[in-house]
Amino acid sequence: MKRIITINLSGRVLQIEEPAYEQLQQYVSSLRNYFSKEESREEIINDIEARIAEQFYSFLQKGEPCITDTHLQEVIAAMGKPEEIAGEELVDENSSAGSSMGQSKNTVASESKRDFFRDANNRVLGGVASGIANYVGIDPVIIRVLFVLLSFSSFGIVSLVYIILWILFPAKEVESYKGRRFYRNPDDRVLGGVASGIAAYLTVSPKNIRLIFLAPLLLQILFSILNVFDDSALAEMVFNLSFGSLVGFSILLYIVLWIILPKAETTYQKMEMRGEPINLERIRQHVSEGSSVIKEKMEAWGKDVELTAKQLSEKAEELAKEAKQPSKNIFRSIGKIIALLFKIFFFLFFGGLAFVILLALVAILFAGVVSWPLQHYIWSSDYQQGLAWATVGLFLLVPVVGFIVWMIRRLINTKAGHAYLAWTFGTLWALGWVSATLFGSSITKDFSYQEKITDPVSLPATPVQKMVVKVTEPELEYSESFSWIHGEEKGWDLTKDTLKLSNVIIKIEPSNDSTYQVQLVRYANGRTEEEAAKRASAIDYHLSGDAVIANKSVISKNNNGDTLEHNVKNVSYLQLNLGSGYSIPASSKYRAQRIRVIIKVPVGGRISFDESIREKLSNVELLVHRKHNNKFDIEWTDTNIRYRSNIEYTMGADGQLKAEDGSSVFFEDVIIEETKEAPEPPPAPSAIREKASLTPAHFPAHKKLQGWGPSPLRLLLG
Amino acid sequence: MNIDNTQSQMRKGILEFCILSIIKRGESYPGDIVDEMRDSGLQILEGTLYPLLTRLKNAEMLTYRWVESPAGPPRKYFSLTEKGLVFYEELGRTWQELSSAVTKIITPKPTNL
Repeated sequence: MKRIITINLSGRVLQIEEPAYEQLQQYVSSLRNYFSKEESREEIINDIEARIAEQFYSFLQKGEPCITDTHLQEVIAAMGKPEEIAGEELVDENSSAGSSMGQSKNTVASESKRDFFRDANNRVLGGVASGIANYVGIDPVIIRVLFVLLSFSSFGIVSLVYIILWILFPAKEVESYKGRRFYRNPDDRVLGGVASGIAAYLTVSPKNIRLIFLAPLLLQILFSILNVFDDSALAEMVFNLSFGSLVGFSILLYIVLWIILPKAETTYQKMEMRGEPINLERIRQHVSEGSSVIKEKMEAWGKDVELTAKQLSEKAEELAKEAKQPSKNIFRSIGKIIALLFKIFFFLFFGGLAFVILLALVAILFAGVVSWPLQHYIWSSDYQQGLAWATVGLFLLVPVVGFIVWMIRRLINTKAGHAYLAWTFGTLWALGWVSATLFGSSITKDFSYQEKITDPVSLPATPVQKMVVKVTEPELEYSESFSWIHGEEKGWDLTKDTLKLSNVIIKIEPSNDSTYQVQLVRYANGRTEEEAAKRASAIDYHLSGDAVIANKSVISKNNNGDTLEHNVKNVSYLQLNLGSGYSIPASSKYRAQRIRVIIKVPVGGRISFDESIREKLSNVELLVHRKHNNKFDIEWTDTNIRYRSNIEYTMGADGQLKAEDGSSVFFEDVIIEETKEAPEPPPAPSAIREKASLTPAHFPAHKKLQGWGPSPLRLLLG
Repeated sequence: MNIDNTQSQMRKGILEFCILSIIKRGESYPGDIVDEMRDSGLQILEGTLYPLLTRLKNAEMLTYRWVESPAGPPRKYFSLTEKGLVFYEELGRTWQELSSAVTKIITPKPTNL
């Protein structure tokens, strides 16, 4: 006894034997499969189900207790099995849908095809890739592979695009892809059958595809054997970089394809792979006879060409319509071609542009990551921080995302019915402008006032005639507190709570009495004078003076020829120990903090600079002045130490240092002399002195963006 | 040459014309159409009728409305649109031409020796 169940079919309550019901379901799903490429598949299936229900109902009306297999078979015979319907509809299958309906039907079909939908039937995530593939008319696998590869190489931007598409476009039961499919070919393979699968898709010889995959590797091997870059290291490097990455790419591509492509295992899949039209008869043919492969291939190829030509002409026609060219036939077809070329060019161009913008975006993000540890030094309030994020997000990112969205919509021809998108992006960008402006003005306000704090440095009271300036601390070295920043960076350090800089500026002035004096000046900018002063006082810098007492022995010969040794004691001098850097606490932010060390030398007093100053301290000074007209003047100067190392200077009565042996005072002058022609005799000391004393007057201390080397101007004059 | 193929090709063209003719006489639902065609000796699979009706409807040749049926849920009743009428008349003219031409061709001519 078969089980009888009660079902609701198209609004009718019916009693049916369970096996019959199962068969009915199978039948309906086979019909659904058959009509899968039909635009209104669900409607047709609903109609058919309603009809079946009606006929079942009439059986029951006639007094049958329930629907049995016999009844079902009767109904199916009247309705027709998929292959029977296919036989009746033969004309429809070979030409495009509804060709018998004439032109009107055709335009309807192509118009509905123009809209982009996500594919609700065939999806891995949101059906975006499959939707695109369906729209473009290629195997969804290709689009998926592209998505995966690009996601890897674009740091997730492509994934973002995917999500945007997912949100923007509705899903629809798009007619599924019926063409050739990408499979791995297990019958003809070296590794995973990827190459021969591609070959089957493209209908070319697998040999060619394999060669393309191997080409970068072969070339690299070939070139390294021949060793063509014997003497050009640069050329070799460029070559290795480009081909090295190509080798990597082709291997990556192969592996990704291997993973992502399904293997063509069943006869059905193998036929799909070769793009053979699939119906029951074909499969039978294929299995039993082995079939005349070449003929089928030729047919498939012919169909392919035909289809491509048709699609192209359709596209051209559409373009011509778009361009609205009311001209005669010949001109119109020329116009079509021009329009098509233009469109291709347009998209290549903008595609390239979009790619460049993507790269720029990646660079911005990367820079953001790198400057991340610095962020605590930038904004002085939550307000500023909020504005900064709004600026980055709205002002920088919105136009990029907007452009990408626009590009994609253009590329897939989505109708511009969504004005709200433009409005949304426009409004967001305007907000970005506002926050960028507010952020800028808030930051500039932080530089409104500059304050300096001058403190005397206590020195030992020993009366001396000489001072040696030295940096005894080890040079500042980056402590690698942040994993983003690598390398042996010197001259600065950065941790979560302190920024250390080594640009210490040394100024030499004449003393107004007979003692050496040292002053430490700390500068900072702020929103108010108090804020600036507070910030300046937060700068931490150590320097100290020590009296150095050296015993010096002088050996001389007296008149008798005896050697005499005198111990001359108390040959003392002051040693000024400068710290190798000053630190700024993160809590006080970076607002152009800097320091100066002013050394006052008594007239006639001597001073020398140890080479450690040049080695360990940096020479640039960033000055931020706010002028009366509210404009900022930002300049770099290199006024640090213009004096030479290990040379004794004497303070002259004019307030300028003179070199003891009468040679050049300033470092850069020495360099100029060295660059002069060697055989030329050195100029008379008096001349040099004259020049040296002139130099400060001719060359103001503030020079914009100048390094240690001689400036072109100086070279000319020197 | 495949006889099945040729037969179905011949039928295929006429099928649309027949369906439109039946609907032109008055609003009808698919069950009626099948019955009427069977009665007049034209065997068709219902499975081909439904997609055809849907396609004609999508091409704006036909329109339909739901009509309450005495037993069971409402049924779809199809009728011709303006466009469908023009299309039908075009087909009708073609059919007249074809049938007279075909009749003439297949009728053995009286030979005048």
